[in-house]
Amino acid sequence: MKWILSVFLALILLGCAQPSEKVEERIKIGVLVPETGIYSTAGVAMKNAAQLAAEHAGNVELVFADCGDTPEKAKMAFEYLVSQKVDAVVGAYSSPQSIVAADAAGESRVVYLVSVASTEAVEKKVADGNNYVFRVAYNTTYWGVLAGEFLKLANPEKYYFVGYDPLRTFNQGMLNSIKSIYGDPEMEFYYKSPSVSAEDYKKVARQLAEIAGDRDVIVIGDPGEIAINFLKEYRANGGMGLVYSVGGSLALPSTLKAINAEYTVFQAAALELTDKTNWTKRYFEDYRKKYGEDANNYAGLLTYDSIIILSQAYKKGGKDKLIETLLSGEFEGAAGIYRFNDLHQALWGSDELKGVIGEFIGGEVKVLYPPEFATSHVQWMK
Amino acid sequence: MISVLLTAIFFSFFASAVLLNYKIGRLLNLSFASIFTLGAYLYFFNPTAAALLALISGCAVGAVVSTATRKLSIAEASIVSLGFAIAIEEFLRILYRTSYFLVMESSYVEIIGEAVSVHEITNGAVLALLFLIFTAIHLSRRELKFVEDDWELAEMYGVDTSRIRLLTISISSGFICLSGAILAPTQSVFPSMGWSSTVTAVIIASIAASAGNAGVKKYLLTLPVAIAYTAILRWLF
Repeated sequence: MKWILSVFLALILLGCAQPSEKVEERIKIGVLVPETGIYSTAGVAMKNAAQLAAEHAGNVELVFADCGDTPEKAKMAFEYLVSQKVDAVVGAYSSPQSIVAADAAGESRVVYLVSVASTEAVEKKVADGNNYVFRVAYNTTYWGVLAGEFLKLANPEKYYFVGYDPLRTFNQGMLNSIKSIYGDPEMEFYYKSPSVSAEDYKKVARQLAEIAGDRDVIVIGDPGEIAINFLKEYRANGGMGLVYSVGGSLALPSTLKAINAEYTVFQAAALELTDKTNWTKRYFEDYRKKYGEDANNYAGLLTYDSIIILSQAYKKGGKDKLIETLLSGEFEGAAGIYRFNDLHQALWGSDELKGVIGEFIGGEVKVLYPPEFATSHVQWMK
Repeated sequence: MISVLLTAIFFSFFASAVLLNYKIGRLLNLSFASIFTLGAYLYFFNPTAAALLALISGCAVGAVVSTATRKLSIAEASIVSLGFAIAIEEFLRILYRTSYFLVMESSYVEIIGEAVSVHEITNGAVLALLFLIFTAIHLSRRELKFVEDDWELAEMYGVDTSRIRLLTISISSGFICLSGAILAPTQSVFPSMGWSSTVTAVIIASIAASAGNAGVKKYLLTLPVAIAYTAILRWLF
């Protein structure tokens, strides 16, 4: 009897000695990444950044789905993520993709953070009652606000606007915003996709090289690869004006170095030199360590911030109160401190969340805006 | 106008390759899109040996496409060639995963007040020369015209159609790959970059073929069609 009691006591003690298993609460986030199609280059940055965000956040489980480059594929990818029982979704690239993803979010009642697209339709969805959509990215107006800020800084004699025809809606929204801040451009151009006319961007570049002076600014509204070719052609034909790009392909230091793109100004959500929050340096340093590339891809950075925001919201309010927490809270990301307005749009332009304008000079990037992070002033080609 | 002419020579050559593959290889060879891209990647990895590597790789891929589609109908063979295009594109995407467009510097020279890339000029010169050689071969070798006109009859008369098909698809793929390598510094290099050129080449090939389908004429017609197509679009937009 005594030995039975001893064994019983020993078992109880063993049981007490076992470490208590504390299950850490994790949020399951679906990420819509364009792994195939015309946006796949940006897709690489988005996937890398998402994986890094999950590592940094510590309480995130990721599920990826390829959203390709069409709205149909984005919808199927969203439905796949819902079938995987994700708590929230981030990503997709183009505006049409984000619109269908927003609809799918409303139908499936899953919170969706738009991390790249700028279309005003997203805010309209919220105004029409779709409470599940939030946008971490700039809206079209803010793209124009940033370009307007640069024009105010540079104070050029004239400015010219060059858009990309397939992105005409985005470009015109952006230009309207610039006009309200700085006035009308001297001229506006929209070059066609090379599959429509292979020579069109060259024609526009040559025309501008002839008419734009060395104290003029060319605002390029194309974030894609044609902008690189346009810039090469413009400079090769003697174009001396300052080129301001909405970023994308022309915000990447290795690209700017490869084509020797001196006097190119670009916007970014954050740069390594703009130490906005505790996440900024961590993001840029760890991204370079992990992937061996510079991290200032707009789509990548905002995908990172979207996941960090969801992680914080989940910690604050849990999965059932994501919407309320997102609407009432403040969230730190690599680009600044995010708050959302009534239309679920991140408050870009507020003191804690401003886009950045950099200039590529002397083989390195210098910050022109916001003033608190400026390391240089606007420099013109001599 | 120099730039228009060089672009037109490129599209004319590309369209001729599409037509030649259709008439002799009996397939709409969509693998050209990724074979062109493959050439551009080869330039990025090794600019010095890119031309040679591109010729060899292009011919090798062409030979595989030719063998894989040998016994298929035109529709089936075209679908298989599309499969090859997608496979090469995915291979390149996996091989070189980057969030950047690959760009290389290209030098420019001024011709009649127009800055033109040295690589575009080289590509134009090489393709124009190849086009002339091809025209000479086509005019001197009757079996090519024979196979184009009636494949089955040519076989009955003892022409080795399989060999001609293999050579046609392989060599044209090699030259498309070479063109991708030469033009790489004038473009942003990414896995799906070859599609826009392929679409334009197919359009030009269709117009040229409908304008005249006899012998070497359809290939020669691709040049004026390409010049008109490029110039009109440039003027329109």
